[in-house]
Amino acid sequence: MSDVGQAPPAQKKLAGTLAWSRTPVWPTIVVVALLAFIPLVWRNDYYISLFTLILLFTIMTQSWNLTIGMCGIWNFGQLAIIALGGYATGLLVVKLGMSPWLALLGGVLAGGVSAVVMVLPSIRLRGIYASMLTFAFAEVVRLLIIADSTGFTGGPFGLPGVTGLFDWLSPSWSLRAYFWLTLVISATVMLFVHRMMNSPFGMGLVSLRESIRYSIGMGINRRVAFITATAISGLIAGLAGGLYATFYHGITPSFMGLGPMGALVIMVVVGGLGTVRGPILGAFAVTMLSELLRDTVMWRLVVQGALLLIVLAFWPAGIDGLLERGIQKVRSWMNAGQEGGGAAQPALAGGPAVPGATDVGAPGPAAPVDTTPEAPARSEGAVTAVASSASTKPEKKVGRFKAWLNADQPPADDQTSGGSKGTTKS
Amino acid sequence: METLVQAIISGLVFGAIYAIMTMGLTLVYGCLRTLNMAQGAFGMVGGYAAWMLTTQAGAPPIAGLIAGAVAAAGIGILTHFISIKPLVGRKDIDFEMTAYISTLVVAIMFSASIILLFGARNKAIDPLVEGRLKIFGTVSVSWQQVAVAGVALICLGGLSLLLNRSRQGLSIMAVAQQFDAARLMGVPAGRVYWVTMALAGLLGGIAGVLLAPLYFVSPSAGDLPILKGLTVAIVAGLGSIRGTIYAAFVIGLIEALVATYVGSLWSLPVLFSLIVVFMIVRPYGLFGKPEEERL
Repeated sequence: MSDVGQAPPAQKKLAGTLAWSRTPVWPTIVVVALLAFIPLVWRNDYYISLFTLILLFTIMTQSWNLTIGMCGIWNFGQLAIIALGGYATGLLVVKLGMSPWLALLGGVLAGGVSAVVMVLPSIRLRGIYASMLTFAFAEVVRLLIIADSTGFTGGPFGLPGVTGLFDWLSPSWSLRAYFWLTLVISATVMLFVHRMMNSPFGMGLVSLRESIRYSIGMGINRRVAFITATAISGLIAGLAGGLYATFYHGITPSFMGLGPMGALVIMVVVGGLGTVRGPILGAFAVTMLSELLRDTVMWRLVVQGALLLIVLAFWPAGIDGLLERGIQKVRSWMNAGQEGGGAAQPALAGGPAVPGATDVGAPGPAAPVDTTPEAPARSEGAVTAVASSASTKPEKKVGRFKAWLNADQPPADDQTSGGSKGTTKS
Repeated sequence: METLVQAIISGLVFGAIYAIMTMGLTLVYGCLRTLNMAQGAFGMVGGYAAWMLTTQAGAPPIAGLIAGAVAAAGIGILTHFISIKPLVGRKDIDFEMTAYISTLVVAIMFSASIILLFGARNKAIDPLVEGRLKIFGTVSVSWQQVAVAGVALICLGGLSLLLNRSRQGLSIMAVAQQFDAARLMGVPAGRVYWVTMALAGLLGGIAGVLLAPLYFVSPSAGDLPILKGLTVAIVAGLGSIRGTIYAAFVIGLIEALVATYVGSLWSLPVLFSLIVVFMIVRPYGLFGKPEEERL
């Protein structure tokens, strides 16, 4: 339990990891530049549009992950925000005859405003109530658009005839231009989110997710932080929606239906909640999976759902967590000679497949997971648990920091979330 | 005057359906601390079971009601074992959030499976009873509405008897009140869990069969009921049985009045904005516990 607290070298190492990680600007630019060659080399239009769709999904999942994963706001209405961004863009183009580029800006603004409007009343609510309110908001938006018979939004048949951003190019070049545009935007959004989460503001958001009382005690203004984060998430979502609407030359209310909702949830959770890499991995994995099943649309949902249930049951940290565990294992194996066994412990503690913890009401303190230094931080948090972190990710630092703090004292009992801990609070 | 009476009657009937619909949510939340997003799907599956038995096989409507309830109860148990049981008692996840996501995804899987089995087309189903009952003037109720209200009231009465008198019901209440104490007193929590889910499925299935003649039996038949159930649960305060009944009737009445006097298109937005205002005033619902941590 206390080897972290006693050994000065380990402490020094921890202090090193507390520094904010640099945003990987140059590696990202290199990767983007390499990916940008895909449509030139691989001339199959179908796959280019598939990759564009994946990139669109990464923007959407990134925006959602910002609220649900990073800040712990239980926002289940993000799809409606994205769709509102798309509808705003489409309406500006179709009804006002605006240039699609300007209309995209309108969509971005609509996304930001509607996200704030949606989250504002739910900020006061405890987790599950917030999720219900946002879910209900999204459903109301969807049903209203479906029920709209005035022809303003096109009702259940959607809004057709949205001009594309690159209609002045030939169709196949327009597709490639979309690919490049979404690639650049997706990378920019990723870098931006990474930078934001590694700033004092982002650290504040993560600490709000981990323990609201602690963060308020440290002087973080919860309301301002959440509203700012939501607004940023909404702006990104509106951008994704606008891109979607112009890319497909229209948007229908079925975009907010259960299928896309399920797909997006599955992407975010399978990829890894609360990490920057997770949404990208999730969007890629899930879209590729559904591509394999493209002949049977409905089996696709069943298979994706089963995938999610399996991931939740066995690897709640998602693909990113698995990846991170692999990296940690390799690293600890490489360091094993110098540091002894101690360094490997935190990596192993992150593993969700802990024997004995799956029983109904397993007594907490006896479970082996609690014997490692990281356990106090793990048993405390909201989404952290789901979100195991990557090397560059802030929450691992918070987790380690807490573990470090707690190393001198016995692990404090659970002060964070009174009634919200599930049935097996012990 | 007559319009008003008509609206009130239809509001009460819908309130009764919402009450049994939301009661499933309330029981599951109280006992398992899970917001069961598959509750609407239970009703949808119940509707399909009733449709198969009555329209396809020609059985009497009451058999359809029973079949729908039983099928939905089975689906409830299945939901518990595939989406909630693997998560219970885990330290490395946030149980409420994860269970919310997994039940939501299970609901989507059920809809997709139903489309695979029966196709996406709407199925019509006969009402339990035909005809209308004249009360006075132009005010009349269809016998179906009377039957719906009757069945719903019987369900609520039976539920209250079950919860307050039977051993099984008392153990559900005990687990809902204090999980650890209940276990220490020898309540088999594992069994209580799936029994509660079966009960929620039963209620959801009955609500689904009762709603089926009004709307249709379709793969998305669960969407609207779960939305209404959520709004009722928000107003009631999750886990409060008394609050659920009051809130269900209040929401049924508001909806019917708005639909009659403003237009049915407006009932949802008006309801939603009322709820937003309500949430700001009472963030823990009508009968929710204020001591529950709220932010």
